[in-house]
Amino acid sequence: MDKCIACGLCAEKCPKKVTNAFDAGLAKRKAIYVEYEQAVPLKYAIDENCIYFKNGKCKACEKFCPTGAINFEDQPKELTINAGAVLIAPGCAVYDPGLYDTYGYKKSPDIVTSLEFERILAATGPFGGHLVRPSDHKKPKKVAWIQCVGSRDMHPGSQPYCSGVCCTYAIKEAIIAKEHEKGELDTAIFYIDIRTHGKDFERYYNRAQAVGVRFLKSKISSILPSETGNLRIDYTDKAGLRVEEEFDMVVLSVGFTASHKALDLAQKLGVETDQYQHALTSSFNPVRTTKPGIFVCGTFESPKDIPQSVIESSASAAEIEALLAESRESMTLTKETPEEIDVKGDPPRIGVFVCNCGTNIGGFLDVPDVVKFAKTLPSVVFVEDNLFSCSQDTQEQITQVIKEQNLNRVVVAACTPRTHEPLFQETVTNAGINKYLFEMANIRNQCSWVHSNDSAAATEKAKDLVRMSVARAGLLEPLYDPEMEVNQSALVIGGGLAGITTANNLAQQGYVTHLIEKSDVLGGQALNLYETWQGEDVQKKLAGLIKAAEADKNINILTNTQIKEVSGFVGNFQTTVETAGTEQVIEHGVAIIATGAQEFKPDQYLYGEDQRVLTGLELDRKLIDDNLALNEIRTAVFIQCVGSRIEERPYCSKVCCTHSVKNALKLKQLKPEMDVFVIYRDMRTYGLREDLYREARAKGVAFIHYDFDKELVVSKNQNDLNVRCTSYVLQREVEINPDLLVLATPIVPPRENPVASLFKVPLNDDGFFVEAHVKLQPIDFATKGVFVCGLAHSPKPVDEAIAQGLGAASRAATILAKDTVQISSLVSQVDVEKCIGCGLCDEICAFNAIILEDPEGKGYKAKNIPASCKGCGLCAASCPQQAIDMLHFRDQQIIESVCAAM
Amino acid sequence: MADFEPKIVAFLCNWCAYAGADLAGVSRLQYPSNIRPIRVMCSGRVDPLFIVKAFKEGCDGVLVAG
Amino acid sequence: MTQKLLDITGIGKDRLHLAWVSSAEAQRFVDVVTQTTATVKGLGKFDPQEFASALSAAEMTLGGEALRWLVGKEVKLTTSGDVYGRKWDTERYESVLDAMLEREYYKNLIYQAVKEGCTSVRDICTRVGLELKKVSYLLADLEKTNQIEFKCMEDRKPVFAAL
Repeated sequence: MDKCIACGLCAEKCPKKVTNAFDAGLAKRKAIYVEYEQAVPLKYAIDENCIYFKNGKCKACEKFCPTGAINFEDQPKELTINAGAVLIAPGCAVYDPGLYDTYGYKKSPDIVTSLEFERILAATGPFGGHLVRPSDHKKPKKVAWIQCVGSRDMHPGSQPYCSGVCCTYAIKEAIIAKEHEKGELDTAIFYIDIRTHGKDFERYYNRAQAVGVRFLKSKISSILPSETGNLRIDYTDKAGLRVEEEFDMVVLSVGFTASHKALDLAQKLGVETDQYQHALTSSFNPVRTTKPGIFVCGTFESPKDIPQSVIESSASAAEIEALLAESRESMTLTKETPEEIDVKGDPPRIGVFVCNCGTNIGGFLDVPDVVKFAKTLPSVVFVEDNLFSCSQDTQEQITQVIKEQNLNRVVVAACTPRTHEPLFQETVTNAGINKYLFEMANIRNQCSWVHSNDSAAATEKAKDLVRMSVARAGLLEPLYDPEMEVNQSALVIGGGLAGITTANNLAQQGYVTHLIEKSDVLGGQALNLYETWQGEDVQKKLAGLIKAAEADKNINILTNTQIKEVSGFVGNFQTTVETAGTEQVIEHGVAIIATGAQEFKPDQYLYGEDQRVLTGLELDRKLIDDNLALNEIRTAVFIQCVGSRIEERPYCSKVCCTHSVKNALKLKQLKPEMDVFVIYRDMRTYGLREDLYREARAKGVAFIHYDFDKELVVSKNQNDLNVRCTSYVLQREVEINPDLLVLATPIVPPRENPVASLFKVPLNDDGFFVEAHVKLQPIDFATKGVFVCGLAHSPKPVDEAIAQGLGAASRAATILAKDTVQISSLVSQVDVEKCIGCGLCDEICAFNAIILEDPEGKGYKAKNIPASCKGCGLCAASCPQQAIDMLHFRDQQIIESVCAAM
Repeated sequence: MADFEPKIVAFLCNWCAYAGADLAGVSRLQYPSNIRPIRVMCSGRVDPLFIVKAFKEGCDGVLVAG
Repeated sequence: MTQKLLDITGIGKDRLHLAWVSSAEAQRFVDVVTQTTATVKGLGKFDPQEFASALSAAEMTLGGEALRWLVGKEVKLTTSGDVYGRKWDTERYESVLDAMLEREYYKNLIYQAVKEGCTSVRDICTRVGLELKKVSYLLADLEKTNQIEFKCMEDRKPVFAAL
């Protein structure tokens, strides 16, 4: 594997074609292959379809491989690893609609799964990114998506639960397909409930409606080929009428299903699973399996989307870090590097190494000619070509040459610095040369490979690229990545469930943690919750967590405390807090924002005017208090989305549907003869919560899907409460006289959150914090050393808040675990002579990495904070005085390349 | 005119367009060989003065891709 | 902005292409490069000699304080407002920017012309292709910033020199 350079020659020569599973079976690949272009590591592998494996003859790949990287004798190896904890993330499988084939998936090539559709849309997919249907490769005019295929379905093979991701991905596919066809495409999504409960997903749903994606609440009867070669969908609409419509293509939005491999693994490890073969966990320990020391994350725990999977991966890391805190860094090795040679003041002596990359460069352009040319360049004292510059032996040879020839700058003309710069930097470091005195010319990815049919032009370009790199190399300066000491303590802002969880975990890991809370008690919103959806007693569990926090001597709890001022940066923050009139400064290395949010108090539906009208949490309070008056109730009504999913507050609060269903069931349990109604728009009991919804219907809770465009009126008729709305199913107005009316209101963040401006981290339009990346960095901010969890990030239930609280602890620990932070040298540099202290740079820097300082009282000057700087260079390009330059990307270094390009 | 091959300086952001260009290579896509890429850490680094400088040096076109 | 300036100089904005390409968009990168190359090819060879003074003036303009200030303040002006608390809409911002771009450029072009030996107002007018009134106005501006000076009268015409 070390020898493979991913040139792809083997796959080109391999005679055996195999169906490409990555392209969802829509295209072919070879028996020797990489799964997809961006695979890491980018190495070719042979699968069981290999002709040699079957017949003992062929070996074409071995014959053509330029590096001798093919090994037919490779065998599986058994390894023994001693570990203190195990994390399993085996994922799940995707439902196969061909199994029972209710929708005719196997009968028509134009009925595809959503994963197949993803590949059709992909530029690297089977049709080169053109939206065509598989049967005749014609552009479809109408595409339909069928939701809940294999999910929310009690039939054999299907799963009763909701997969939680399909609504949003179907919307995404419909929008992308529409954009792709510049609007000349009709798209329709056939659904039961649209479940866009994730952060910002409701906005996406609204956008889809705005661009004309049709949403049809329906039940599908059949999908059959029509006489015109299209597909005819027979369905009943939301009013119960039978309708037919033809489409060119149908996409089945397939859900998750159990993976046998995952189940095997769980059984081997002795991890218990639920009835759907997910690892059993609980709301308060969302990543702990039933076996101590074994943790789980991702879809094997339950169906979930990318952000939640990523959050859980961090959460399980936190659990393991706490468990293994004692043995932290007990197996760390230190690398030794030779002393660096001082090259300051020496005229540049540049060595150029031109890589053939087997035939990848040498096969398409004239490498000897490039070598000859490089020898003519100023300051170049040594040039040679290598078959593979990156191979182990060449690396050693380069180190040797640097020493022998006294080189002080090195240029390698080969592949891309994005993958190979670190390797060569290490090589020059081994010869005592500063790693910033190295430069690459990208003559493979951006030259030989992309101009393979014009050798002369490619050679010319390669010469220019080498000249540009040499010109730049002559101006490079040695740089030293500075190290800053880290204050190994954390500040957690907000003592709710998420904040307490973070603090407890960090303390268990051994870090001093300051937990500050605005109010006089810890607990936050969880103090108002009765049970989790899985039936755990929230008050009991919460009390346990608070007690643990209070008992831990690593945790410094400050209630009645607010933040006044923040300064500093990652590793070294100074925060001024005020507790009951007294101020103190806390020094800390990281900050975790867990400032929470609360239940919205409505001003409609007689709330506040009639005692029988409550919010969801107020009903919880009565349940916590074991209020006997609840037993007297004859009729209870829940109204969903009160103040949610409206223009003023367009987001979905994610928890309210499950909360109402859970409480409806509780009321039924208290008094089975009670009439309980839930009036809703879309029932969003996502994931395994669907079980509760099913149970509620089975136990007689009546669900009324009401027409949102028509009025919903709550009035008082003498002493009777009266609720009036229009039911879709009944196609008429319904009237109920409840003696308990519960309003499911949204979770709203504080109107003003000073923490956001103090830490200079962004809030979205709804008032929730904006993470660094919605999918891949759901706990981080773009600002280093500051993290977010809990309701401050977005509405979420107990288990997800805890997972994110744990996740924040592990993200924070990536900084706290080290004595120092190494900071990149590629930062801006202010020339204080030129700087007039105007502050424009401070204003435009998105990372808070430039401040104004007046240390000597001689006027303000800009100062770069390397720990925060991302090296983007916007300040340098904008400075009115041209007083800012970027290290390693100096104006002069860039300009020199520009000049050399001509 | 048919034989004229312009020289175009391309400022490419390391994280976006430069990576896209690398991927074009991995995918063996073909495009004209006229561009001379210069890697920068962000397209925000590209001072308009660099562009003028390129023209002064006689380059026929400039591409900034972030 | 730089594209606009290229239009003013006569170089033409089509010689500068701006594009957003993400790391996964290999095909898009190829399309952008192909299209850029085709456009530039169509424009023919660029002769820096022909545009020498225009380029120098452009360089001064883009490196000048005033313009860099205005560009750096764009976000602030259009989202949180100016020192008087007035929020600018994009249109207003663009028009102010355009005006400044043009004024600064011609000022610098005049400066270049003076530097290259066009010392009388009439000479300058012919050289930069602007009407008399505008040139006089910009000359006054240049005097104020100590870039040029009034040297003497020659044949009853004022003579200027670059500083």
